[in-house]
Amino acid sequence: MIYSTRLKVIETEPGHQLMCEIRHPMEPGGRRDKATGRLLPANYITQVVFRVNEEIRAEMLLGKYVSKNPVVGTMVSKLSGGDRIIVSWQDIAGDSGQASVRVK
Amino acid sequence: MITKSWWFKPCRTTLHRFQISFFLAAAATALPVNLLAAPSTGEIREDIRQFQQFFLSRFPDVPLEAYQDGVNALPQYAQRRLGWELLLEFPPYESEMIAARDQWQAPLPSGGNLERCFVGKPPPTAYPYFFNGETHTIAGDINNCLLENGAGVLDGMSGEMARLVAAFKSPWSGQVMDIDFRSEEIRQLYKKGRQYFWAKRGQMNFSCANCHVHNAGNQLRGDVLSAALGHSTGYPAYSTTWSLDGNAMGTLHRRYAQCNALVGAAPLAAQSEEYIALEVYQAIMNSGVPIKVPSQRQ
Repeated sequence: MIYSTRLKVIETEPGHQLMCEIRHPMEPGGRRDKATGRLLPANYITQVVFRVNEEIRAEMLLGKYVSKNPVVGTMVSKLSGGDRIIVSWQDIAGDSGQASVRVK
Repeated sequence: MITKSWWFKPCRTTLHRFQISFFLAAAATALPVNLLAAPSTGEIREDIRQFQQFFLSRFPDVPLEAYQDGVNALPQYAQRRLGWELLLEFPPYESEMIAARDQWQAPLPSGGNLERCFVGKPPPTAYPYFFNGETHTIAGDINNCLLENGAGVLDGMSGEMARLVAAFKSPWSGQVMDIDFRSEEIRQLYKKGRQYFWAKRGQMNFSCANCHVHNAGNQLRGDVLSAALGHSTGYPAYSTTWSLDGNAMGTLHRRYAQCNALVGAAPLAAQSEEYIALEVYQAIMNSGVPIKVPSQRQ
């Protein structure tokens, strides 16, 4: 399955807001396929990490109860121009993804 | 003891029935002609002024242009607006719009495409309009184009139709609604739509106006009722409720049908005369409000 990750840096008054959207099914594992009646295998994101210049600023532990295509974010203190933001995630199926932007 | 007046007596005989129907028929023929005629352009302009003035005085902090955001523009919704704006940082309709633009330019069996069909037609802000003996709506014109080019017509409630209408409207986002209501036919439809908007219907005996004019901004359980001004400027919309069924984009007529079902009235078919009339009425009432397509609604 193709997952996409998008990252945005929004300038706000106290600092910067980092927001990330992950296109992911977030299948909890308890739902059944309507056609066949079989359980759909669980596949959800377990960890999302935000890094600023390789330094971990936020680490989120997600579970099966988060909706599909989740948007997660965090506030960080004022960033300076040229800072590199990286967000990376991994799910229980072993897939992972990341996105990065540079602060203008 | 309740004494019944003479006019409440049930008519038991054929003669009574005949007398009553004769009386009604006589009354109908005696109606002055101007009650049956379409409203004049001056009357419609006065309607627009009164309608818009009602909302502008009810929500003094909301300018006319802001009504394109639907319920999100109202001060009663201010606390939840932040969540809506956050949602639009990564608009959920983006993937739908990519599919819509592809479909808009996709070749049809005859070699043409929808984009070419709409060259020379008025902008979406002028729809619905009357030309060449018929009333044109965007969905109707899309179906005409599909038929002319050898493709099958689409259901006006379908997500595919919603995507195509959105593809036509989205480049005009920000332009204000401007309907030409000089033709007699459009004014007749306007009159019908006005009647539909203000008439009560359904098991709950609600009219459109009961919720969206008289109670606009009030709470209905956990929701805030939107203002009728600005309705239809955001459609076709991506609805979070509809997205649960996997068919998130919906046309204005799909929303009308949903509203009808909510008040316990039988929904009508898409592109039915009543819905087109209501679309004409709402489009005229929104004169001066910019369109915003695609948009996100609850």
